This record gives sequence, structure tokens and C-alpha cells, in this order.
Amino acid sequence: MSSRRTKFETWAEVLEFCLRSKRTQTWLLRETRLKTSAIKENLQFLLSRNLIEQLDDEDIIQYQTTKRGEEALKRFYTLVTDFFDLNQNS
Amino acid sequence: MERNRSKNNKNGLIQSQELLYTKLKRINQLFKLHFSSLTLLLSFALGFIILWTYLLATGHATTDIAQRYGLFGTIMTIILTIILFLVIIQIGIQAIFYGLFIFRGNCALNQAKRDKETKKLLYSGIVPYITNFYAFFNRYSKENTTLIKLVNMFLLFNFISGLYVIILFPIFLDAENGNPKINIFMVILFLGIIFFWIMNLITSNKIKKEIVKWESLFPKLDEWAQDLEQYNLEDSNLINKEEST
Repeated sequence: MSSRRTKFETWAEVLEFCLRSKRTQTWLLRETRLKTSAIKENLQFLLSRNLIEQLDDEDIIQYQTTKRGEEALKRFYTLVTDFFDLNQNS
Repeated sequence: MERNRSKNNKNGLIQSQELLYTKLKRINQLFKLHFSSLTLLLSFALGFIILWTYLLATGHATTDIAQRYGLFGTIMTIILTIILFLVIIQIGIQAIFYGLFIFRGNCALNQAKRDKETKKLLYSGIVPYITNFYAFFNRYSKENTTLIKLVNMFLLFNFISGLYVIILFPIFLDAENGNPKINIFMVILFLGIIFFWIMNLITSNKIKKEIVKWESLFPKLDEWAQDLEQYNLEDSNLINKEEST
């Protein structure tokens, strides 16, 4: 199942999970049910686009969504909300 | 000023979360209503068939066709009862099918925490709800079958099953069981079946429309991911600088 997950599923999930609290890779691995290589690859992508930031907290590497990530996530929510508003009567 | 901007951003995000959460909650409510109608239909149908089988097995009821055609009529009664059993099993399968989806969806939608600054609820299960829907959708979207086809099949099957029960009921009611109380009880069960059957057909139809909508939403979410891919590092550095000044 994990290998068939699309980019939007993983990226949006990671952005939302890291929005409130700092999350470790292990935590994200468990919640997203991805393979280690896949979560590393996705985290790397989000870091490279500055959508999440890496924080070293007492030797524990954690991730948190940046302002840019929040904006991207907001766009995701608005996209879905607007879509349902437009198709409400269909 | 920086703090205010951050707070506004946060409020904007919370607001868009709340809007979407309300919509997802409404969609989830529809699925829950459908699931409830299925389980109640299943319960009433089970009560009906158990009572009927008991009456037949103990010899308290004899159908009109059994009286008229003897052994052939008895065999026909047994066949009609077996078909009814199969119909009930199928309703059970549908209840499991929707139940699994609702269980995961509910778990996702219930993930919320109160924000200390804004005192508003922050949801962390909105995206998992959407991905759960997507996984549910993809699981049944193969080359020859789609989730919509499956829901249509369920809808058609429920419609035929309901008609079958309506046609069959007079046969059951005409059966000589010599106990008017049992007859009244069977009528109550029958009316319950009809009520939840109609409710089930209505919710099935609404679910079908909802799934059609979701089907056209997913490509848009893919476009959102493509947009993220087009973000580049230089832009992100600029934004960082803007934020720090």
C-alpha cells in the first residue's frame, strides 16, 4: 500500500503532522506507514523546498512545517474547500 | 508586527482548516447515516429471517405454496428462504465495507487539539481523512471496476433485494402460523425493513454523487503536488530573508 501512495498524499500529510509539533522521522514513519527510504526521500524533498525545517533538539533530529509549508498546506485546504463549494449543487 | 503577521497567517490557516473540516464532517455524516441504515436494515432482516426459519423449522408455519403444491411447494419455500439468507449476507458485506472506511475516517477527523494562542481547535486529521478516501477509492479502481461501479452495484442489489422482500412478504404473512401476535411482530419487522431500505437507497444515491465529485478532485490534488515540485530553493531562500527582515 505504501509504495502506491502519491506525492500529494505524503507531502500534505507530513506538512500537517509537523504543523503543530516537531516530529521525528520515526514518528512520521509510523504515522504515514511509508518505507524508511520513502520517508527519507519525501523529507528531503520538503526540506529542499523549504516547506519543513530540520531542528536539532538535544541530539534528536525533528521536523517542523515552515511558514512556506503552512502556506502550501493552506492552499491544499482551500483547493478542496473551493472544489466542494463549486460542485455543491451538481 | 512580525508576531501579528504570524498570528494572522495562523488564523488564516485555522480558518481554512475549519471550513474544510465542516465539509468533511458533513460528508462523513452521510457515510455514517448510510452505515446506520445498513446495520439497522441488517438487524431487522436478521430478526425477520430468524423468526421465519424458527416458524418453518418447528412446523408452526406452512406457506400457501407448500399447502397447495406439497413437496414442490416446500422446496420452493426453502429456496426462497435461502435466497433471503444470501441477500442478508450481502447486506452484511456492505456494512463491513462501509464500516471499515468510516472507522478510519472517524479516527482521522477526531484528531484535534486546542491552540493556546487562538483558543481554537487545530485539526491534524484532515489530510489523513482525504488520503483515507483516496486509498478507499484507489483500492476499488482497477481496469475493469471502479468504486462508482461497486457503489452502483450495491445500489442496484439493494433495490432488487428490497423488491424481493416486498414480493415475498405476502407469502410469509399468508403462512398459517395460528398466532396473530407473531403476525403483528412480522409486520413490524417488515415495516422496519422497508423504512431502512428506502433510507438506504437515498443515502446510496447521495454517496454515489459524492464519489463522482471526489473522483474529479484527486487530479487537482496531483496538480497541487506538481506545483510544489516547481518550487525552487532560490525562491525559498528569498522568502526566508523576507521573513527575517
